[in-house]
Amino acid sequence: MKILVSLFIATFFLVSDSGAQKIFATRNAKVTFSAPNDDDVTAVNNEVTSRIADNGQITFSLLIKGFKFKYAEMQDHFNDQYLESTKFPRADFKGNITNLSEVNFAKEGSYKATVSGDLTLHGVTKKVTVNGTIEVKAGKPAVNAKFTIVMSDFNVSAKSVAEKVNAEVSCQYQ
Amino acid sequence: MIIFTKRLLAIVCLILTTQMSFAQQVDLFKMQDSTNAAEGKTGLQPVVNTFYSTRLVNGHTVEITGKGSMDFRISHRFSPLNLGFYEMFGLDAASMRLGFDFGLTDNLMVGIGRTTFFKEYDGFIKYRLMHQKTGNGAPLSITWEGSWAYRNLKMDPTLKVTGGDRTVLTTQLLIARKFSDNFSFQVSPSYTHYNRLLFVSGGSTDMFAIGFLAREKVSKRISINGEYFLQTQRFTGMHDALSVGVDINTGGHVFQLHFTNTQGMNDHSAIHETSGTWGNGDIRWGFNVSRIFNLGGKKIR
Repeated sequence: MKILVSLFIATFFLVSDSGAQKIFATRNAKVTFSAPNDDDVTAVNNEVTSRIADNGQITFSLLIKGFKFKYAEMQDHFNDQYLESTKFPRADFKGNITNLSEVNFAKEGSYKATVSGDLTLHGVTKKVTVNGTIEVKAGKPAVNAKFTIVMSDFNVSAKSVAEKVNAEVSCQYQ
Repeated sequence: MIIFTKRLLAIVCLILTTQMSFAQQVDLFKMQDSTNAAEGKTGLQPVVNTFYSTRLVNGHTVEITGKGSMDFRISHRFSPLNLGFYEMFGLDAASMRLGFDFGLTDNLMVGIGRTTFFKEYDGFIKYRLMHQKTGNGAPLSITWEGSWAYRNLKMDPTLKVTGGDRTVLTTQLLIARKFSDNFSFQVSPSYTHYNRLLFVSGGSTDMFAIGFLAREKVSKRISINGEYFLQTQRFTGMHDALSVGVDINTGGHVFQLHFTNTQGMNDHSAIHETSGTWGNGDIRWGFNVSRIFNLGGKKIR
């Protein structure tokens, strides 16, 4: 009987310690982008779904129509002329942290991380590598990253507006 | 007992390891795919760009000028083609309208304009009642439009024309659906009230018509448009207005080029005061240029 009890305790311990992989998620990640040479061309999407797991996987998903611009006309053109959001409603990212050994999700601190994965935008999937930071505080990670998207890589003909845009990701996971 | 416990231990360990390996297999990539698939079915998004502009040729479309934007519109209708070479097929003379439209909220806009045709001032207000949505959302966009026009042309003083006599009111209900990325169709029942019939005769002071507007996009930036207003009753010598045209959308500018048999460019004159017919060659070349200026945008965070 003693053995049985200790077995149960051991089982419990095992499960809670090394058990399931930890997943952190948010539905309110923020993605902004701006054109480097036009201050007016800037948009923000506050309803980005994102997940990160301590196995190094990280995902982002957003609706193109969720980008809010300063000017309504710009938002219309962005959706209709450039990103064709009726045809391609979503942008997706699926990546892996390449330096996972340097990130400890269980320990508070700020870690430099490199993420490499597939970015799908305007129906085109491209490999991208992004440098950012993962900050673990009170057991929850937060991610911040900045990178550049070249529009022609994704078959978006926006030469008259911006050939590339600066994108910024910031999210606090729960 | 001990043997039994050992077996139990083995079984528990086995279960435990399988559970753990299940846990390891949780894949965020697959998780994202299934979330996206589930949201794709319920996501309702308002349909944008049912038409490229707030007018198709003369008729109002369901579109509303964006909040904080001013749309400066210059419209020309040249003389009829059948005037021949001496008048350069109508290009020697033109009627013109200058207009300023303002987007006040996401669903409300107002506009003012001045036309050389009968020296008219006009103003209108337009409100979107319903916005077509993707998925299982609203199937139609519905916009209400009301306009006022004032004929300022000098008239024989013996007619004793008052300001009220010079005023014409029109209201339209614009009902449109964007059937596909390329094809949109609109029906616009319209009612016009003349306080006094001044330059027209026959008909009545209360005139009804129904407009049919259609556009087919042939490329990302170019659409072919057609517009026809069917009247229930016509003034003497007046006909229904039929127009065909092309929109070129450059982003910020919309150039609208068309052929039409009507000379007026505001509601009542375009719908009810069309003296030419296509059969006689009373066809006018015309264009609208729409230029959007951003006055004050909304704050983005």
